[in-house]
Amino acid sequence: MRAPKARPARDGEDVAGQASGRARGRAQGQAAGGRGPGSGEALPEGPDFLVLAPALGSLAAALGLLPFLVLRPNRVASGTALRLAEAEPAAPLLLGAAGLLLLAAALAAASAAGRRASGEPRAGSAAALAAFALAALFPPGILLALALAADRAAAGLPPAGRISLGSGFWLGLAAAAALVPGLAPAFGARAGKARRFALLLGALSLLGLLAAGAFDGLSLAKELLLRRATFRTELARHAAYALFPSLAALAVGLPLGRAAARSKAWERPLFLAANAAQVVPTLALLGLLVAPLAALGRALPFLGVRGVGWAPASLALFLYALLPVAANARAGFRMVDPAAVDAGRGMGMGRARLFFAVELPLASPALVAGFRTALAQNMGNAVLAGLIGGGGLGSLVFLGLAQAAPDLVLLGALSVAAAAFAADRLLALAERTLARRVFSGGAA
Amino acid sequence: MIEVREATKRYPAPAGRAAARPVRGGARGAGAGPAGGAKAGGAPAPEGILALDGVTAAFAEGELSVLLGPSGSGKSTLLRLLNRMIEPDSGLVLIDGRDSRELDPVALRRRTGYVIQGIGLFPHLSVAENIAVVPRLLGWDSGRIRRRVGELLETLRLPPSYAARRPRELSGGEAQRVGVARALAADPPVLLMDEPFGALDALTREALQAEFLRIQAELGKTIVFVTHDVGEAVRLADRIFLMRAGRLVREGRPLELLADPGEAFVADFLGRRFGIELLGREAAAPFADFGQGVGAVGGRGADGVGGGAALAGTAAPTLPRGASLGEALARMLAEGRTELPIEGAEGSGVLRLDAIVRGFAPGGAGGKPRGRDARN
Repeated sequence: MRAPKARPARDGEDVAGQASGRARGRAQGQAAGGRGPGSGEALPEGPDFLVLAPALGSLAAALGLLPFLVLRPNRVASGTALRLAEAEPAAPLLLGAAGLLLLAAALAAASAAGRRASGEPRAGSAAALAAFALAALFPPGILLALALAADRAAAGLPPAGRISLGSGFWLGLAAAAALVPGLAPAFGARAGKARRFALLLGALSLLGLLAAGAFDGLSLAKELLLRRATFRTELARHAAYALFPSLAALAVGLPLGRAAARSKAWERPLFLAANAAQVVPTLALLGLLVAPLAALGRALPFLGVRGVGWAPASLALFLYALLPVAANARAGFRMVDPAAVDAGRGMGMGRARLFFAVELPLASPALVAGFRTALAQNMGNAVLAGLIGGGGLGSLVFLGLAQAAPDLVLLGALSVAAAAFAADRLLALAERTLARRVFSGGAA
Repeated sequence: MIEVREATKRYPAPAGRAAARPVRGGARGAGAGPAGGAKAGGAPAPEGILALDGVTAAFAEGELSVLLGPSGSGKSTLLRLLNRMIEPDSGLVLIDGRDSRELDPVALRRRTGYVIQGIGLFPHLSVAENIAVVPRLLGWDSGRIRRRVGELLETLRLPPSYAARRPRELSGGEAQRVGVARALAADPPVLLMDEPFGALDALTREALQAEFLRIQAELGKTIVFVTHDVGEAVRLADRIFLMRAGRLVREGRPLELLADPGEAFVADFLGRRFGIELLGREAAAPFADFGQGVGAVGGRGADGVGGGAALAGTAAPTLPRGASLGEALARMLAEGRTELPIEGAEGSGVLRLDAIVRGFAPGGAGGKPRGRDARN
């Protein structure tokens, strides 16, 4: 769970290993009116072996030693593990060769660092580029290996048999993804762009393989295909659980945050309450809500409220979203230049106009940041709605747990993670765009 | 005409930005304790701060009135009474004879220009949009707004391309110009300015002051201008209102204040160089002799045609028409003369050192004529 941000950071591009000073230098460069890359500050750097070495090590270990696939006679039975070499003999050779090439290129780029310092700015850049290209191709390569291995394994399996993903696949994929940030510094000011390119390449290869049906043999896909309609409704319900309580929290938290920004008398009790809601464990909060909501449902039956189901889930998610939204609103309204407000009032803006024309736009990047945190957090927390009969992707997870079907659990969990990630990225983009419009120049 | 009568304002002790400011009743400069001055220095009193203590003042139409005084003397509070940003606890503000409490504050502010030290440009709007705020509030059509923005950019000597810029992309001086343009946008008859040039470096500040005087000479607005900088007050003011600890201590034209400071605090605050600073703004012409006779200082000879004859035999170049006393004295010092030929509105005349000295002395003739033309 993410801690609420005190100020709306531009953290769209912070992966480990990225000096945030570089991003800041770039932001300032833009604020000063320039559009191009940062002003000589963000020079290309050699590969970051603190990231690269562990990533390559775990990549080799995961793909060499850990089970890549697990084959089961049916969807709940325990299975037999297959290493990559057993599942697809050609893959370890190719991937291993690529890894060695990558290491060699990275070492070559690093050894050129001395020459770069002594006046040869482009020394080693070809090696660095090659290493980065190999790193960007690694995750697609592993996905391709998976498709091939699954295809081969499916041939020898009974009709009810299932192919699950092993720990080696997951760890290998994660390690391969970690190669990119270790090599992106070679692009200097454009490191962020390089990383986004690598991410895009990975996402496109995944989508391409999915569309081509390369993963249809996997148990994960079979679980999905079995309950396509349910999946769709639960996904929509899950999104609604994340979205509407967050919107409600925005509607409530925005005025409260503004009040807190202006007066200590409001701030203390407000944040005491919001923090309290935040520290109560989600499950406990749901439990606490059962009795009062059940009583409410009995008293006012037409509301359709019960002690379990959508009502406590929505209420709990609303309470969780309140803190990030209100805290960011407070920070946002505090950052509004008092001189701008004074000038607006002095020029004859009424209260409402002053709020909508000056305060709200100036606070908006922080408000979006708060909403983004709340939404991403609720995407995750909404899983628990499934536990109390509220539906959502959580119901798949808990159904899978009940049936001891690990791939159904995985299907729910992966969908939740993907939805949270997508929501977060989308709002990060909105936040950056707003911040650029509000805080820096350009007639954009 | 804006009048303030017996206005009193007390801020509550803990809250509020203005109350947090310590009151310094003392004079500018170290060790210059005023004669009868009970210093209110330090923490705010528990019963709050008396920001205005029965202030009565009148700001004349078309004049640039400067509210001058140390920090915390109540200048800004007084200024903010005038467009009802704050209300007095007791007393009255009359605007063209009408009690300001009868006026709608929002409408009043829309026809009163307002410039503050922080400028308060809206960072999310372009320069043009910032300038257009009040015209928009007044419901002007877009063509008229566009024309007005263009006019103002020209008046304030900003290139037209600046219309699309954001405040972030402006220097301090440029931003302050935009602030002034924004205040002038709807052509308000009254302009309130609270240390508008306070945050600028000295060079930019003086350039903007000169620019501002040029604009004021053209537009003739009623301006109330707050500053704690004596030099700025001297350069700009038609009339200075000197404040201290919530009271109006002295008001008058700058030369009157030099000639007759009244309280010791006034002379103290204005400082020893006040006379020298005045030289820069006072025009030389009123001190010159345009007639044939000697001694009629300040009088304008009806037959100025023969004035040049008085200087027959001297080869000194003639002082130009708008020259200030400062320029004249500098020339005298540089050339070792005590008199210079000068060109006036009605012909040429002669400017003599002793006439300047006599004109500056208390009760001298120099206090009366207006020195506007020295600054064009």
